[in-house]
Amino acid sequence: MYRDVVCSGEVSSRRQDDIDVAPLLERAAWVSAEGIALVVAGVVRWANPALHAMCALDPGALVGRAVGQIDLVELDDEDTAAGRADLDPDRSDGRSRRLVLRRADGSSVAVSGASARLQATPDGAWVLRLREIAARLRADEALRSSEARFRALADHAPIGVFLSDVGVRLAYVNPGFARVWGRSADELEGDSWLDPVVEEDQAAVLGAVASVLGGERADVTFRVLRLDGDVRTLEARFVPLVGVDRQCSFVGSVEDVTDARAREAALAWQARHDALTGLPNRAELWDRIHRHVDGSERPVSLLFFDLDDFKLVNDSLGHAAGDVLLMEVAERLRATVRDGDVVARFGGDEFVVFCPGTSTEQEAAHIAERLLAVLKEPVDLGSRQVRVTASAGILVSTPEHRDTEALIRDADIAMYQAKSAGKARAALFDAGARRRIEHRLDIVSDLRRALAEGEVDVAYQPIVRPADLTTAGAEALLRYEHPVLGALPADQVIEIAEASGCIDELGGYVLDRACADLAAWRSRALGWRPQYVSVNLAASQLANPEFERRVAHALSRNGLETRDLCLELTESQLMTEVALAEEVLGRLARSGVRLAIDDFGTGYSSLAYLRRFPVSLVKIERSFVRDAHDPSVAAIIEAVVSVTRALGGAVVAEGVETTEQLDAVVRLGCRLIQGYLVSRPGLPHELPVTRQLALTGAPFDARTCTT
Amino acid sequence: MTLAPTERLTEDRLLAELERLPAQQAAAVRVLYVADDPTSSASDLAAAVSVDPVLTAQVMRLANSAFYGLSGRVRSSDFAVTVLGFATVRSLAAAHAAGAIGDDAVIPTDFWAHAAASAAGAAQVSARLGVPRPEAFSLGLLHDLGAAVLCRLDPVSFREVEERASAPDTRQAALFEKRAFGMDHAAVGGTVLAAWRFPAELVDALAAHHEPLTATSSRWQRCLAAGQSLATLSRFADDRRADATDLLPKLEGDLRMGDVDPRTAFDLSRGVRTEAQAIAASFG
Repeated sequence: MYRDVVCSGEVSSRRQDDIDVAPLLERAAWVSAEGIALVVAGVVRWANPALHAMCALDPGALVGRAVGQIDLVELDDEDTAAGRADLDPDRSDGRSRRLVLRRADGSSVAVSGASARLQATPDGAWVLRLREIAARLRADEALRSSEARFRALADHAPIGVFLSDVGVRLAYVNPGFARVWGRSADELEGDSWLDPVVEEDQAAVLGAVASVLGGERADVTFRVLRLDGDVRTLEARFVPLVGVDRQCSFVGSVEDVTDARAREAALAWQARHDALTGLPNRAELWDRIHRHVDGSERPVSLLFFDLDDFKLVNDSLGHAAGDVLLMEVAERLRATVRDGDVVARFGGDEFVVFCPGTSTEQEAAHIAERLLAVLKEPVDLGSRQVRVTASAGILVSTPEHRDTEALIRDADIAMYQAKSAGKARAALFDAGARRRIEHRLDIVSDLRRALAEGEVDVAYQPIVRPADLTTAGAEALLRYEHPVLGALPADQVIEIAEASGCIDELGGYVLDRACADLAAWRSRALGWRPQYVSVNLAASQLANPEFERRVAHALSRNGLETRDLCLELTESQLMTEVALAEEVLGRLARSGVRLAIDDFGTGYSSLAYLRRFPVSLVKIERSFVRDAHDPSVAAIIEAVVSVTRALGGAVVAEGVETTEQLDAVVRLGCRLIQGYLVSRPGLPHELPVTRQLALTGAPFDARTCTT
Repeated sequence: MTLAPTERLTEDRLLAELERLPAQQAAAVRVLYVADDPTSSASDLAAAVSVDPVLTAQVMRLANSAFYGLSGRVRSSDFAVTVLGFATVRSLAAAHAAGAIGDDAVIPTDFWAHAAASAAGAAQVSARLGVPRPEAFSLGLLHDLGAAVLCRLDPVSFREVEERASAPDTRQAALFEKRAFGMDHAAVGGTVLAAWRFPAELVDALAAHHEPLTATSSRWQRCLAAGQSLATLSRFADDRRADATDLLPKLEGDLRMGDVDPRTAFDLSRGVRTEAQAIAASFG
């Protein structure tokens, strides 16, 4: 009403200023979209077209009627009818009111109505103003129904939903919110929702509220203490909202993530621990060591345990018993180490104990001995008791152990040292052992590269008939010149290749080369022409299912026949894979490939092999040849020669270096010889001696060849 | 801005007095207009507030009060304005423009304690009545602003009236004011806030706040009445048998009109008391 006082003051002063306006005012009122009526003594004296249209009456129909005939109903705050409206300024305060106008056609329209007195006369003239607000009402209605829908949504949402009031205060929380808080909604409105937030997390929550009030979305994880004492972890999202009154407020949601977090934690734990023993696994061990070693100069110790002959337990008593044993071992290790030491299952039957506080070898050895002693105690596997031992490698880190990988590798090496020293013991890491292994690893990689690039040479040592010094065959011999170490002995190269799994590559390489070289010699019109090439085999090559095909391929590619190839195996190689050798070599022999037993006399020298394998050559080892003058050795050689001959084979005397030896072996019946005396090994282009032999066919020393 | 004893207040005279505000309060009036302009942003309002150090300090203190739960975290006036909202900043500006804020403010006894409790009370019941909470808060905070204006215009006469009308019947006080000044503080407050273009509902409710509630009283009026009853109750919140007994019938009537179940009113009033203390503390 105070506003009206001020306003009417302004209007009246302007009217006095400009009298020309007066005649236009009626016209202005006439075209107004607002319905206007002039009322004198309760009767409508004038009304504009807008008011007639609002009432659904013809223009002019209202004039002369009582103002009460304009059917207006008052609405209260809830928009329900509250009785007939009386707008006479004598009886109302002149404020605009929400009304319903009943039109002449029976329909209704929502209007806002106001009245103002124009003259202070006894039968006072006043003006009635009506404005349609139907559109606004509909908008209100839509707003209310949309609010009702969101309300229902919020009330039944499984997650917590909240609306802010001012500052950190909340104006509304839904039942889901009350549920995660473990309190009733009434207890959480205002700023009391913050009270159950645990002390340490309060700052984070307030920080999130400050951010959201600053207009930025904020996510925060925090804990609340429920009335029942349970602490729950909640995750809340705050979203800023700029309200109609331009006050920054926010809405948000909150979820109880305690169980989800627990599940995640369990998964994370599982990923880093061994399921059987519950010990940290390799990945976890790695991290724990890394955390300690990173940036610290202080030595640490690592003990690497491997159970001795665990495979036996598994194979004889079953995997279930094996598992029980592993669990028992894990438990004993865990129970025996000191606080701060980490026991991890490294894999299979390997366990690693990491002792960050142990920095001397003496201390570490002491711990290892104690653990070995504990493991030695019998283990009850239900049906029976077993005793297991373990081998332990002890490593105390040095400045050169810069990473976790190096630490574990060296502890592992030490464990192998303990194994090869006889098991059931601990061994301190010895840097020399690692250097030997590294040396070997270097050779392997260099060898592989050399094989790939064809840098490994094959030399040939002729196998000669002493009778006329003609060449029978040629034994292919590996020659590998290491870029740094120089020429390496062939048996060392083979041993390394076998140990590192590249023996197939190496064997295949020599086989191919030998066949190609033989074919090349044959293609020349003149020159050295061995009947066959002899290639050494490792037993493991026989295990490769590709082997026979590979042999056939090498021969066919070079236009050779099976009898052009002789495969040599040592006695001990034959022994390791008897069944396989019998099968594979049997097939090859039947196809025509020659077989030779190499180094005969170094192993069991069992003549039985001569029966089991279709052998065409038996090569007597050089020590027999050297001692051939000894009557007992001579007797053995004679026996071998006679048995071999009886079975259709021939005997080769290896390593013949003197004429005395030559005399002896020839006398004993060897039909073929190899050795520096008559035939030095050489690369294909270095074979002048042997070529000369071939060309001349002349005896090297005719006298020695005569019997 | 002092009133000669013989002069009696009318609405026109009152508005004329407001025109002669000291320069500092003029800055506060400027804030009122920025707040009223629908195109103003929070930083426009903050910028207007920042011109006046007294108003800035008050805005910061209230935003950092325990009531908003952000104690110490509100460090810029921009953020303070966002936290308080336009309605509340506008109320503070009005109070400052009327001379009720600042070290040199001459105000009625317990003015801010009463205003804070009414604001907290009105805000508490606002949702039940469908009054926007920030507006309810402003209504409570400013409902006695007219008294501060009277006190500033003629402190001596105002103190006399205060002494004579210390009885709890507020209608008697209004009568004394009318006799001494020509207008009572409700009418003065309504006139001033209308001139400063506060929402009509707020102005009407404020001007009528000493009239008893009827079935046709507006929601705002009921909100203020219930809020004040809660505020009164909050002074006795821990002591049900205390002096409130005499007041209870009226309070119950107001509360019921304000849609508050009188039985839960005691619980509500305890919260109101804490909040009122936090708000009042920011007014020093």
